Amino acid sequence: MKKNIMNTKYIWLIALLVGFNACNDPEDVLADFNIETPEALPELTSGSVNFSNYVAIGASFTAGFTDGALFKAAQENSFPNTLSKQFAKVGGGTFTQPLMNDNFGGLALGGNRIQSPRLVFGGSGPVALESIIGTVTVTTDLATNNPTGPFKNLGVPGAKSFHLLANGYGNLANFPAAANPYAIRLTESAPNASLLELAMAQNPTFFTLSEIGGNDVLSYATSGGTGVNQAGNLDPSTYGGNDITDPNVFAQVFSNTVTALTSTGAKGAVTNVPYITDLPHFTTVPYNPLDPTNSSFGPQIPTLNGIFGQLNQVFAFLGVPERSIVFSQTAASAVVIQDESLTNLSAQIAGVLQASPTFPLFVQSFGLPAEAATLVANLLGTVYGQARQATADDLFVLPSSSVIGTVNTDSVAFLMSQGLSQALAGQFSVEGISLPLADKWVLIPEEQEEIKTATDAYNQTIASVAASNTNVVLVDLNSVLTQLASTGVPFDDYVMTADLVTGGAVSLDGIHLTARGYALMANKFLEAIDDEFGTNFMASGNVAKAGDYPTNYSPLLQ
Amino acid sequence: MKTILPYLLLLFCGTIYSQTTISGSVVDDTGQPLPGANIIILGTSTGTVTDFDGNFSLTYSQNPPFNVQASIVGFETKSEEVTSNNQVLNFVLKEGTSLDEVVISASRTPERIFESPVTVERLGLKEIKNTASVDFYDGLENLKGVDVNTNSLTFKSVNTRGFATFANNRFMQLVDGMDNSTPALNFPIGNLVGMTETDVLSVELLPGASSALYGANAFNGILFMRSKNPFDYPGISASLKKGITSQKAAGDNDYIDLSFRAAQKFSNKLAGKINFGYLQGTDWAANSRVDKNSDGGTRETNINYNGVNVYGDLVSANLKDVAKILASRGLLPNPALVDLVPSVDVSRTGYDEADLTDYNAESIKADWGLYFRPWEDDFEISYVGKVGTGSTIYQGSNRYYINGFFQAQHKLELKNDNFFLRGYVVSDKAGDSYDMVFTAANILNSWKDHNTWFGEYTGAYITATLAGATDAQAHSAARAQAETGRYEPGTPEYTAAFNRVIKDPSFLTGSKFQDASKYYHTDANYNFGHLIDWAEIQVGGSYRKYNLNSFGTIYTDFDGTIDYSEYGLYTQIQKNVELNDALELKLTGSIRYDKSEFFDGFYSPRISAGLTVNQNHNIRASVQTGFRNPTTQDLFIGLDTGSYILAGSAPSNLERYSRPYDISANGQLLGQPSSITQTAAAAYNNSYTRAAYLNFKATGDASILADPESIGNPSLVKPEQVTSAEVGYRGKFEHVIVDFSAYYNSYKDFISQNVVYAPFYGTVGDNSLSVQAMANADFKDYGIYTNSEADVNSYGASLGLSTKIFGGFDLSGSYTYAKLDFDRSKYPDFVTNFNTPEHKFKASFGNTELFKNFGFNVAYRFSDDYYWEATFGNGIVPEYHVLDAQISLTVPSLKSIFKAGATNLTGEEYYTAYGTGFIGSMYYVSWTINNL
Repeated sequence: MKKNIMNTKYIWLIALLVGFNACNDPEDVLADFNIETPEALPELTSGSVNFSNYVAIGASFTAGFTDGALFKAAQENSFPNTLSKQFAKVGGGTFTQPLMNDNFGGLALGGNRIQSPRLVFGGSGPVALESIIGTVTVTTDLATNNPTGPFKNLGVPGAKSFHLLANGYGNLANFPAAANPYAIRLTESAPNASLLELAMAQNPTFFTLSEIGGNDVLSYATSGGTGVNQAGNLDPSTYGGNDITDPNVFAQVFSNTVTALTSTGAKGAVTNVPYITDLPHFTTVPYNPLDPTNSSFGPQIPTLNGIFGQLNQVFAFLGVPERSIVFSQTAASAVVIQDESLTNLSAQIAGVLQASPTFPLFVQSFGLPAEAATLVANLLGTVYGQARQATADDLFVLPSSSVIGTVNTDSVAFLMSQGLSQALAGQFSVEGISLPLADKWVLIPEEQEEIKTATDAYNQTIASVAASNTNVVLVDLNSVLTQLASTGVPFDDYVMTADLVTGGAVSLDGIHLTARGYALMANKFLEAIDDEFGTNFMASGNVAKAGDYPTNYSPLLQ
Repeated sequence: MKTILPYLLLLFCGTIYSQTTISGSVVDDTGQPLPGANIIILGTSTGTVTDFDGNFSLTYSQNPPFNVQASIVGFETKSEEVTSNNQVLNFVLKEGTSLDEVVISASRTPERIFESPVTVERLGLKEIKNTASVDFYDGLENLKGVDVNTNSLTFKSVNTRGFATFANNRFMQLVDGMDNSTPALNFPIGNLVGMTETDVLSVELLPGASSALYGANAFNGILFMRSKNPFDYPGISASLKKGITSQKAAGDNDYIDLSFRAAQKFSNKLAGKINFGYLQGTDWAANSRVDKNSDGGTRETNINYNGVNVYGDLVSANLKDVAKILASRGLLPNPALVDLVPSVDVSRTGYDEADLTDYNAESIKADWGLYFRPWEDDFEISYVGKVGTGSTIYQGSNRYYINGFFQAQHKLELKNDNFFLRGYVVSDKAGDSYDMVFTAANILNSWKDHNTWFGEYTGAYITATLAGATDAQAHSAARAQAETGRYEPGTPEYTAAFNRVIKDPSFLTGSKFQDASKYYHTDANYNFGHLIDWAEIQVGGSYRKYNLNSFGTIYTDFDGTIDYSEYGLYTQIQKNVELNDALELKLTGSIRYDKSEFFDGFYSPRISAGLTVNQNHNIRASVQTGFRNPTTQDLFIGLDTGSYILAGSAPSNLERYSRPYDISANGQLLGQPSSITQTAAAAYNNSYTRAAYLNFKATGDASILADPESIGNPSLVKPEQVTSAEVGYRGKFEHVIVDFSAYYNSYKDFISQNVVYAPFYGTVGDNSLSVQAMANADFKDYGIYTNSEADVNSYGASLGLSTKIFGGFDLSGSYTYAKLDFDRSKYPDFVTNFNTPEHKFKASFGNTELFKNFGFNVAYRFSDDYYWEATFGNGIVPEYHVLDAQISLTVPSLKSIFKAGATNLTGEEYYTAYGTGFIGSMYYVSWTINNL
């Protein structure tokens, strides 16, 4: 009887056990609800690359130059350093940078400042650091505290393509004529070693060769095109600092450099050259900043138009009515510029004015004697011989913003020397209004075209070198900047643009990138490396995160 | 009266002149006395119950011979003939099985569970006495196939066969035939305003649909609670339970539960009773800081943190959108600064639930009844009044502190064994109840309005970024700036704001509920069983009228109450066919017709067959339908939740909800006026779907809105339906009782709530003006009520086994399987709220007489992992094992039972729904006097 009871009991215990075995785990339940536990990212692989010895060669971007200076915090956020942190996860070694001595930026030589500290955000735009925190002592001194290498980051701000191969470029003895202060900090005991030699001495297994060619057009651009386009001149030793490098010179340097770097089987990534005129250094200042509601400009408009009315008749008479200068009372007006590409009509203008019977009266209206008519005619001819109002096609360099509308004291002194009163001289010396903006403030379309032509030629070389060398992958920096300047580039939760201050990608100097911009650049390298060499930095999530990189550096950072 | 009076006098005289006294005892087959057994003179209402020692004495107004019957739940009924005055009757009752217990709910007529045509669960006096749970309502947890979802200490939500949320308006709860659901909420608040334990006679539970007999809303199941009639159960009884609740979050807190019952049989014609219950404790505190928005997020690590039990942090905005607004209003020094702002959602810093409630769990209930049997037979007229008030926590879309909630019910009923006619009214008052989530959000809004907060945050983010901060540093600086001026809990300004908000009935600035809704219900049933021989036929019907009155705060009843009604009629035929000596077939067919003012009439049929073999095996099969009318909220709500407007779907409601809206500058350029008035009708006849809107917003691609699929225009809500097929088996083997059932449910027109977007101008699908309205943000979003096209099915089974081992030990166990069958990939947005574990196992082991007067019971429950989906939040409910136990001592000399018990003995805290407080342990001792 008892036995029977137990048996029945066991039977239903077995039945219940069946139930237990069928139980769910939380994952099963979630799967039922199509809730996927986030798939683990794949593990990082190094592909076909040996990352153990990574050397970065380049110019200011490679160095981490930002806000018009190089300083420790910015170097920590240089794109090569950011890359090296990812490379470290797949066998990359220590990445040594030639760190500056402080976070002020700027350079000194034997206690004398030779470069200014960085720019900071001053509430509405870039200002000098010292305007916020007062005078500082720049402590990075070429004479006393050059760092100890060897350096994996061989980025030299200001270096042009041919400087890579130039011996003595890092020799203090050649400074300032033929040496670069940032190169001097790299050479240590081999002052005459070229940058490429410094690189090769380290037997890199992986390299980045970045923004080569950038400075070959940049100084020309920032100087407002005051340099010379050296196309056709194959001897760089004859170039001035603001000249455009000949594309053949570039091609030779670039291909030699890549050949040398890959000669030991190293792999590397190279960038092409962006259209630098898309940078905010050239796009921030509008061609038409003259606001009629501005109390120091608006009331002057009738007088100005009266004066230019005389001149405009001359332009019309001379068959160049397009040079007419008119300021609107209702809308923003374009500044007046000196366009050296125009035929110089100084003499013709002076001649027409002198021949005009009404001109002496006009001259008298300024309180000058009628006899001054000849003088005034010559002066007007001189000043406006190549003048015109700017158009949307003209670009203005960033520093012009602090010049437009100010009185040019040199001009005042000159006019006074010619017999004009100080008041009148001042009236005719207002930058961009009564005094055409000088060449150095403006990139006229012809100058822009020269830059573009050179850039396209460089990029063609870079593309063909990269295409013909399986150890090299091209990072298309050019299209990144184009996109930044047009639609913006999404980076994590941000959409970065090329706007000054607000765009997040370009630093306060309008040329170099912010830390976040460099982080984006690093990710573009990773993308390219993944595509070419079978790594998976992007897919495995081993990338720079936008939010970890600031767009600005605090003025208080020391 | 004139004719009745002599008759009454005659009866009265009869009692004087002829009188028989009998006495005796009732014992079980082991000789143990059976207290509380019913002794009744057959064919009359004269009777008594045995006392604590199983003894009784009874005086009857007539001379012998007559028959006396002794019955008690769990034992086979016996009757004996009385032949002489002062005769002593000693009944020895053979213990029956659970299948012999009589239920009345399954067929609206008394029948043994064994023969019931559908699955039915029962909790009788014996089970209530022995339950290891803290009270009878909690004891339902141990029934096979029953899910009890714990909202809070005093608000348990009962459900069967899946599809449970705390707003369980698919499950009915009747107390003595009276619907216990709250007019404002459309579902019962557990036992908060239900029954006191000392008055409970039995609880029956029908899993699954039973609309055929009980009408709309008897959809997932129905719970019947029956009280003790004062004619049958006179006397005074009381119970006092004291103990503690123990929970990590709330600590150890005192708990008291008192119930009192006094019933008096004034004569054979008149009896009355009163009940009073008082329960006070501290609720399970809900202090989960788990982030709803990211795995493992915290306030410190996730800028858009939204803690499960942290409120106010639901208020969230996209920083880039905020920056754009600031720029468009000229509030940024340079509009291009928008580019420095990431497109991320940021939430306000909320307040913990503990700062928004005192966790007082309280229930005060009283009821009273007068019962009149004019002819001293089964005809009875009764009036029952019932009030309840209390405080608890309810978790719906948000967590609500139901504080000082009051519900009153009054019922008048006429009945005899063959019919009843009853009418009752249920009314509620929301008291000081408030929404804790809105409380937090509006306290936040009161010290710094949301726009300002997000504006400051964004401004500070930009400032910090320009000053050199990384993203994380900028967010931290931004939050610090935006949080300046925060009211910290405990400060006078916080308390003042809190008190102001919870008294303010506008959800834009406050959180108070206002409601004083009612419904009137009448029910009638006639059983022709005594008139017709060939079958038992019943007919019945019901009528209900709703009277919604929220003063415009919940419903669109700003201009007076909203009234509407529904009715139903049903009939049932039941026939027993004796096929041969060993085979008996019971066929039941029922059909019910229901009609609501707003919807086409519905027929819901049920057919069932039960085959009894050798009196020990019963096989049953049934097919039935159920339907559920949209609730009062589905129909008449008009509530701006702050994020969107809930717009009920009743045709007359659509135009009742109306509001003016400003048109954007861009809209005005298109020739639109500066402001328009839109009614909720726009949600139903000129709206885009949520998916289309989100897609359009993300991509800006206008062609998305040209796709006809993008048009929302949901159809007006109509009743949802279920068809349920069930088979079952009950069997008595020598020592084991088996009860098995399996079902398959198929649902149609599931009522669901969606969000749609109604443009202020243009016609959806015009691919022109309406698209521009959407692009200009000239639209309003609405939460609407409609029916899903999704096919939803569910199936399951349960197996219960019980036996006696080692002599007097009861051992039972049950296993329940429940599975949802639904193509989630086809309807990814449709939320089924199935909320039921696939596997459940329950067991209990006990002995009512381990030794003399001493008993014990241990109950164990296992629930598998399952996924909880509800408007408040979705998440895994991990598997749990719960062990409850009690020991009891009966002291006949004191007519008392002393009990000591503990629930959740292992102390392992668990929860049955995502978002509630964790359920801790309870330890209690109780003293029950004279509760037979």
